[in-house]
Amino acid sequence: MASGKGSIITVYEPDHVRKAGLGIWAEMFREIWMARGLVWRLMVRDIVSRYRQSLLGITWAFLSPLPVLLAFVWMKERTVLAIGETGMPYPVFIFLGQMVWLLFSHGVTVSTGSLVSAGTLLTKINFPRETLVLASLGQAVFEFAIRLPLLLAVFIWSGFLPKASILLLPVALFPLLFLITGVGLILALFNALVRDVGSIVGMAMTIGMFATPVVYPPPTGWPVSFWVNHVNPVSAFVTATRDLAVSGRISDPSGYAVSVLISVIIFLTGWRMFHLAESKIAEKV
Amino acid sequence: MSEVLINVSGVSKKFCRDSKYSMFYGLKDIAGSFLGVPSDPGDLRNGEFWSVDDVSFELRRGDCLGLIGPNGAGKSTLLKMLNGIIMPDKGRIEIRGRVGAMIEVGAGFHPMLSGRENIYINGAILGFSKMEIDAGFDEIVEFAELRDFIDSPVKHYSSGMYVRLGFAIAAQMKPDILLIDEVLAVGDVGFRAKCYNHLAGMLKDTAVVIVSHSIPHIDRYCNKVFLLAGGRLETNDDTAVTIERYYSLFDQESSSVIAGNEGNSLRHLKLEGGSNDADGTVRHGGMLRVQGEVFVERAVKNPNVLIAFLNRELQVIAVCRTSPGILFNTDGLVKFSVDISPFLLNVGDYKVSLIVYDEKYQRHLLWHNASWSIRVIGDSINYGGAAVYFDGKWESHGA
Repeated sequence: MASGKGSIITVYEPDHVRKAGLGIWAEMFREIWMARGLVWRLMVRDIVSRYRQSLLGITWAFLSPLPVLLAFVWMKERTVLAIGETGMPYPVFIFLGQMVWLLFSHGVTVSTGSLVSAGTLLTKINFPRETLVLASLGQAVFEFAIRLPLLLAVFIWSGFLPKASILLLPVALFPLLFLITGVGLILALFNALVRDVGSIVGMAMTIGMFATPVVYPPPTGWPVSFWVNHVNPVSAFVTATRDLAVSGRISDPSGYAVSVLISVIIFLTGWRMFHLAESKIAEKV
Repeated sequence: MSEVLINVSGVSKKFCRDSKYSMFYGLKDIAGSFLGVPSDPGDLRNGEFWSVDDVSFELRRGDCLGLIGPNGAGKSTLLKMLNGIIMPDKGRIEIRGRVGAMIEVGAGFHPMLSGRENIYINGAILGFSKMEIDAGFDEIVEFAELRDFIDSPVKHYSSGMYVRLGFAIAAQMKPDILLIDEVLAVGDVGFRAKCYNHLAGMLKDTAVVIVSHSIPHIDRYCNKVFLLAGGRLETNDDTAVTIERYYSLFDQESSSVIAGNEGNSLRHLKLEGGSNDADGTVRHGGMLRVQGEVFVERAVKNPNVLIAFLNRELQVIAVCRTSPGILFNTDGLVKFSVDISPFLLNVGDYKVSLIVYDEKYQRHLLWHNASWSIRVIGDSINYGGAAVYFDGKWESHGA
């Protein structure tokens, strides 16, 4: 990125990014830090422009989890579906699951499309491309926050009193943002090259919701339990969220810790991959 | 000499014509960079071509470089490499200082948001802090002349208003290097003049690269002019030579027969200057004799002839035509000649068109556009690309 005053020399040549070696992490971090104002601006831009020309505006953030919530509550009441013991009123159970899942799926979906939808911004202006992906997290987090009052309403409606530890929710979910960003960075990159990725992500997110204990409790039977509870890194965050509401104690600390670790590793990998390929994005998008 | 701000050495860039191949190469290249496999950019793969081919130059503070060339010659690609949007496949570019670029005006404007909001977003994208934008905000709005519209969504802006806002933001950057890609053409005459004047004012602290097809502007504002054709750079210390080279690329295309048929056609036309000069050459202040014979349909008894002189931008800058009734149609053949003297056109190259009309100058019978060339020679230099040079009598009225 060419910025800074006076005698700063920027060099553009083939494979420049690779030549910098290990110091590249410091450079990557500095680049993001310098662009933090831009990330914020882009976040605000995306959120404001999304709701400006819409009748219901922010209400959509409320409405989007409701169809799944109502459908599954109804199916369970009518015993169309046999869903095991949830340890809390089912609407609360499913809504807590959805809060986490929507944060993840919305975040990943928006960031996957972030490069492609940037259009001429990407092909005609030089700025750190990571900011586009980071900014798309903003939308997901914003809608997550908007749904918190709705969560409260669900608590009241179900007559459920959560433990005070539910207030730790933002802390428990913070590592999930690393996972979203890491996955988002990688998918955004490949979507810029091959548009099929965007369509695949849309489909994968629908399947993913059912591969995550969102509407049902974590399975116990092998091998489903292994795949859903341990391989799927989102599951630990869903379970931890419910633990905070019910008992205030994370029921599977090591599982949670592993998921956090995986999230950070995916984030670092994604970031590095993105940075390596960054210079080729503009000509390939 | 002032410091070198841009140093380009041996830079090449290849592109792929086919989008499927391009996608495949992109995946391969990116996979290569993940694995640390050094790319081998030297060879062209199937479907690839050199968009920019082994280009080298340097630019100092105070230089204004005009980059000209036909469409698809690689001008924008070169500009994008200077801005770091795309990386060269070969060679090296060294940039010293802060770069401001207007590759496309309105890139990054969000249509739903107001001009005000877009100023802040665009400023942030270009690397400004909020404080810097706050400080320059009024100046930007003032320069763009958009005070009444600054809170309307930019989707309601005209394309000219887009350009105004975009240029105003970039103009406030005070960069060391400014890259501009044919964006000013959309603005109205007043704003264009304002932009070029602003550019001229920036020049003492800045190196400017302009890509444009507006040769008169390039001619006036740039101290260096490079021609990019087929990815290769042609340079000459004399900007006029480069500009002439550029125009000569289009000689074939510019000449055309716009009107004419079996009954109305050209037999021959001759342009003669002084007796000692080569054909098609005329001395400034001397005489040009045009002699011609055209076939004209017999029904038109007294046709009219118009000779037009065009500059290299193919704009008509001078005409000479018959008064009605002067020429006679003899069995379908019209012979004419005209002496133009003194010949006032400035030193330079011009194109000549011939148009034959009916009696009342209402119908084109024959129209050969820009089909002949003349070269005006003389002692004066062609100053500022002016078409006419007056040999005035100057006197001093000192105290």
